[in-house]
Amino acid sequence: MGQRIVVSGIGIVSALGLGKESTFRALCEGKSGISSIQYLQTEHAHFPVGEVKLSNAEMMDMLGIKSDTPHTRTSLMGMIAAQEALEDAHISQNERIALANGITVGGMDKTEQYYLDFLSNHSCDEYIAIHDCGACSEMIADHFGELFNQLQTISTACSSAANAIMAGAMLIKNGRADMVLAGGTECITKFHLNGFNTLMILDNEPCKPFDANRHGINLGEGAAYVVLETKEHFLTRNAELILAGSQQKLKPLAVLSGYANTCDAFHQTASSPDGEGAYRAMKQALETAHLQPSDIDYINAHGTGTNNNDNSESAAISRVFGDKIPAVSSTKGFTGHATSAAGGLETVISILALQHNFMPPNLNFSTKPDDLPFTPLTAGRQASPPLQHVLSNSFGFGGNNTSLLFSKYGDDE
Amino acid sequence: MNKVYIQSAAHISAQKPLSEEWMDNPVVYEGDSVKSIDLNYKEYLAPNVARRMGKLLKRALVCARMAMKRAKVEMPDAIITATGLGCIENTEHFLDAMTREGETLLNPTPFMQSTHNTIGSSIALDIKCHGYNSHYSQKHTSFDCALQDAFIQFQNGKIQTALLNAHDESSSVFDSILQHIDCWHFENGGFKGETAISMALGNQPTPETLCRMEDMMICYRPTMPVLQKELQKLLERNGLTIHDLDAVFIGVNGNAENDNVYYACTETLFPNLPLARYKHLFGEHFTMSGIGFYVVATCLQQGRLPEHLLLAKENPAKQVKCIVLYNHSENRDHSMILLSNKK
Repeated sequence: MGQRIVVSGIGIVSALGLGKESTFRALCEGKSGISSIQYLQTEHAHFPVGEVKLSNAEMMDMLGIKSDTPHTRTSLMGMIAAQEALEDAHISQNERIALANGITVGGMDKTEQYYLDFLSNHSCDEYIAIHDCGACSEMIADHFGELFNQLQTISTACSSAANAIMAGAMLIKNGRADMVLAGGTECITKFHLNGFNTLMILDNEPCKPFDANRHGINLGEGAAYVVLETKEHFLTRNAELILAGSQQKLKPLAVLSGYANTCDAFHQTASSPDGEGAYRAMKQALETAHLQPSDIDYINAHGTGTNNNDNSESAAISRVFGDKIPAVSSTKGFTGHATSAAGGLETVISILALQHNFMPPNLNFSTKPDDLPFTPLTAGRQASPPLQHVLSNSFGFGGNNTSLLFSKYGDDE
Repeated sequence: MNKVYIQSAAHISAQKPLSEEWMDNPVVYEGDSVKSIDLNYKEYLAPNVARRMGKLLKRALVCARMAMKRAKVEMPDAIITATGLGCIENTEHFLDAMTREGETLLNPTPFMQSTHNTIGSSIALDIKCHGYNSHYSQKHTSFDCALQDAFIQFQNGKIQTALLNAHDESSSVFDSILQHIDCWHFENGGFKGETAISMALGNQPTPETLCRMEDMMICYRPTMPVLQKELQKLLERNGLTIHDLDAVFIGVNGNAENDNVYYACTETLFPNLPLARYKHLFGEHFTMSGIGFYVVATCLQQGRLPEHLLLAKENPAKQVKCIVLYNHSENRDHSMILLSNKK
């Protein structure tokens, strides 16, 4: 079975606010972060979005970055979430850690703003070299001095962060990193707001995942990371912290017990009706964790609110779980669909669910479609018996489907 | 630990496509921006497949099919793709229309094909491959990250075959922006190229096998002592010493800032070893180290290192059996890949 990969820290920034406490509070109160557009400059101002309620200048101020430093919104959010996760895991400056980061549009927020300048004058040249996804990860890594000694950016559209978490686990299992900060970050850009709009999959109203009257996505943004390491590495590190007198005995927040990446191989932007890729991802994640479908207590679904995704995903869930489908909710109604960061946000939400035995609701669900094989949680619910295993789905364009499985770290471990 | 074999390769680049003719008769260029020598894709792709595809996707599909055919692999266990910028022509198309014509009446096709993972998922779609499918975009070490992912999965026994791809294209806007900021400025025959390469990897040697990949490492912003230590570890865990190496391939491209890092580092890390290059034939782009990997594999398969690849002619390599491919990305990420002719 190999080594157990544990999560020793989490960090999150989203429409729900900054940090895991405000995120969890909003989930408990059923309070969505989706609102009208405040920061993005666009002609389509009527679409509800899940923006992080901070300007770039405010984020730079928080991070102690000088206002004239070239930056992108994606990297700033990434730094804030990374900082929380690193502190949460008590990572000191002397450690060396790898970064596995999921990003898709990278510095597009600045490129779309300065595109004509890039072509005609030199006023914004410093933003050219920070356009690509890799540069964005470098900016995040460099914010923490010498801390990061390995870097990889994974770009699989809306499953990027989930794939980064899986890649991080593989690095550790192969002995190529002791610890990995893994997750993703993405800001809303005019580019992909318009892209999704041309595909006619944006909802003019707050999104209603799995509902009979759903009309599509609300775009979101944010960043979220987990710190991964082996259980042994965590225990050794914790023992050293205790010896140094700086720490109490800590417990890992969760175990990353399973993961799988598959491809739907059906269509460039649409999911297959039978959810083949999603089915395989969930099934294989269970296999890597040596768990049965009946072991799963809660599924944090991809549930974007598009007709196509929710049909495909629910068909796949039905194929995996038969007539014993566990509690399901999509939390996109809270955060919006944060694209590359979505798998990170939902990983943190899944871990908070495990920690607090609380399953967040699927907001805005009122009418069950006839063919939906389950009814998502319409209200938040305390789990009894306590949650043991939580499955988190992230599916991307191109059928890049990934499922992650998180389990409670036992008290007796 | 399981070994990894390079079973086949197929490229479309500045050199004659799908061919190893560059070993003996390389195409030589003047000027600092070179487009790939494209094939007549109608001969390779059915109209319903190629419909709406930009040139990078067509190249990607042809390379993938050819690499699998050459390796006699019909369905790889994994498709792993590297790209610095993805289908940038589509990205620019959508961005340009949005900026100049406003946010109404935009065409969805360029957007659909603008995400980086369009490449690997189009390959998966072409062959209906449901296996592992991922994409890496880490500047000049994008390919190295993708290769490491495959290597780890081979080592863990998760996969037995993989299709590894590296793709980047140029475009008019990309070219003019680079020129505008005088970035990627080359001398001594260096140029900006385009990348399209697929390679089939496997865990068993076959009659088609080019060479074996022993191991690799990637390191972010290492100091020289760290780099020395990492190289030592890499050699040691594979039962090798520096004396077992026959040559070092480096990513010099004619840009002084880039090249000086290589010369300074190799002087300390690999004193007295013959240095060889590949970007003078294929140019520079984010995923060009994928082409470097193929160049080294081809030299090992043929057991020779053509003189035109050598940097210092007075120090020719003997018969080549074990080579290190060393690349860096703007002196931040450093990567070393160890390849041998062992089977």
